[in-house]
Amino acid sequence: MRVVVRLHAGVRERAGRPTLEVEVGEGARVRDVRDAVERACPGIAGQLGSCRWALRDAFVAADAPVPPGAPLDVIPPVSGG
Amino acid sequence: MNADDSLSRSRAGDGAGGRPPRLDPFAILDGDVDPDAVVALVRDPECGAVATFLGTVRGTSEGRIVLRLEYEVLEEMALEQFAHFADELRARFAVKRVAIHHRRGIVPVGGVSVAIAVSAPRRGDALQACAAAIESLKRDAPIWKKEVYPDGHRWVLGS
Repeated sequence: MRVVVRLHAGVRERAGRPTLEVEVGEGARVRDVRDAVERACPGIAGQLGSCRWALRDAFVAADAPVPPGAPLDVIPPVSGG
Repeated sequence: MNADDSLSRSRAGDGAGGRPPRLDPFAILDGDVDPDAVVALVRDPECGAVATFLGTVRGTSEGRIVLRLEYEVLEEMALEQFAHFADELRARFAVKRVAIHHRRGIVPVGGVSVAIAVSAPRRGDALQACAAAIESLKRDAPIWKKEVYPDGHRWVLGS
């Protein structure tokens, strides 16, 4: 299945694009999407280790399943306030 | 300019007063944050204290001159997180209402980037909950600041 991944802040800037799409198998976990993003966009691979992931406006763990059709957000270290 | 991002105070015995809230308790704003409006959102006749926190933009960072900050926000998730923070505060402290307004886009040096107000029957709960709220925001709100210098910029990683 294809998964849309949304990039933000410094990761988006480094990638030079706000979104990308990757192909993962049915039943994929967030970590599988992360691995696919690293392959698709090596320029941000070094940053992904410090990023969290979010699904439907909530943080998700690396072993969380990825439902079809829902975009994932890459959340770089935050700095609000 | 050496304004830190710390301004907190309690207002004991304020009573009810004031106009009814007209803004959502949580908001991401493209325009100026109005601290008085945020305070008005949490005023409550059952409360004897309102504690507030204002984050303001510092003109220097690690020895570099900062011209301005630029905030990027994942809005829907940020608002969900703000509501989650409020739920957590209520579980830990005897607080009545919580309001958080955060800027998006360019904020000049000295400008207000975030305002938090917490009301509680007692000042101790209000002050502690307000401090906890800004720590939660800095840890878990999907908001990013870019520092813009005379010769470049940098996305701040953690704060």
